[in-house]
Amino acid sequence: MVSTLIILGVALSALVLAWSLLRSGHPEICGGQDWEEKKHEIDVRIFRALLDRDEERYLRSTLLRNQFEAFQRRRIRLALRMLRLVDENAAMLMRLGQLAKMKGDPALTQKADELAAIAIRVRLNLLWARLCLCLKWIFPSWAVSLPTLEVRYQHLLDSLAWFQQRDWQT
Amino acid sequence: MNFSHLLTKTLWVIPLVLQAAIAAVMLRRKLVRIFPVFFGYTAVVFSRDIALLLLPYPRNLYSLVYWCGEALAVLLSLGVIFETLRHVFPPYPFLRVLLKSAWILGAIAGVTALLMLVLTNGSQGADRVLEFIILAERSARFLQACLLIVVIALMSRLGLTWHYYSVGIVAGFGIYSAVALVVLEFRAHLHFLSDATLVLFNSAAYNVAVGIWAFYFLRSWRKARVERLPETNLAEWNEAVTDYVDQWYRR
Repeated sequence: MVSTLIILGVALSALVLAWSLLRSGHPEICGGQDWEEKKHEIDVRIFRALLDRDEERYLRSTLLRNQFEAFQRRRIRLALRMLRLVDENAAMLMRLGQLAKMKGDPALTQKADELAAIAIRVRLNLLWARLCLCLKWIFPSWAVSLPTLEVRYQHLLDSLAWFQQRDWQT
Repeated sequence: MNFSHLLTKTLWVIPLVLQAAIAAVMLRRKLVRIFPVFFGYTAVVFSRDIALLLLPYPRNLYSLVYWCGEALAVLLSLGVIFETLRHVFPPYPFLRVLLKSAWILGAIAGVTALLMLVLTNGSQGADRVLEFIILAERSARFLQACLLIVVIALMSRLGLTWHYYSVGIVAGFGIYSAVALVVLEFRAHLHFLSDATLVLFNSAAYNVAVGIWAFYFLRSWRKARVERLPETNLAEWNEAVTDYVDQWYRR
């Protein structure tokens, strides 16, 4: 029974994904003119302001808890909407870069490759950002941070240095 | 000739015609060098089905050609997925982790498929060999569907959908393997379907897949050219998004 459920789940996922790929497979952008018409004008400073920690602390200290949570959720919704538009811009620019590569000009090809690289990087980072924002939307008052591996690694290096120093002194 | 027989024959002949056209277009547009495994798959299935049309049914030679061709087709279809993955993914160092994850997921799916084959008790029918072959095909289709899920998810997420041919290939295989998997599960494990229904559903799904490949390969794609690239603030956005994600880590 479990294997049947797994198989049906896998088959359904493959079907839905294949269908969505077919639907999204058609190009939206056919040239520079299309980009100018379809691009989304979004200000990165507004995004930064929406997610600013100092601003959040100020709101937390001045508003009632339920007011703060409602307000914070609205800010997060807005930020998520902005990220969706950034995602669409990145997709259109990747397509534009691919079209530019067809010209065969080495300088333009290099620029197109750089553009595609940054667009893919943005789209990958957007995944994490969306995940964080969704968590924040569910728990707007949550101020917990995740421990970073870099810090642990730094502690490890510090400990090693301390041991080496002790060893040298003795 | 009854309706069911006519339908089966039609579902058999349509992909033959379309696959011949796909192979011809691939040769003419020099796509064989880019997708050699997919071309091999198309050629193998086409040759096998032509041979089966000419061979008398049911004979040992017929079964031999059918099952050997089927095994080769399943292997080649798995190869096509890796070919697409290699072709579609840009060689950026930061994508290596993603590719490694795809390989790990593929390995997990492979082990699961193997376990499904070993652990499923499907030999309740009269023909034990046939039951085993169907279960083996179900495992192969499971592996194929899992790999396709990973490839399609990555392609969609990273916006690599401008590779029209690759999109057509994986979408066609995705739909075919999904339907084939469900049908094989209902036939081999749950015994809900008869052999005739299994053949009919399988053929119908294969027709859909070949239809998708034909749409992507036979159509001429408009190639617009871009003379210059616009200035963008993507780097700034990348920094802003990374800064936000970094806020979550305790420093």
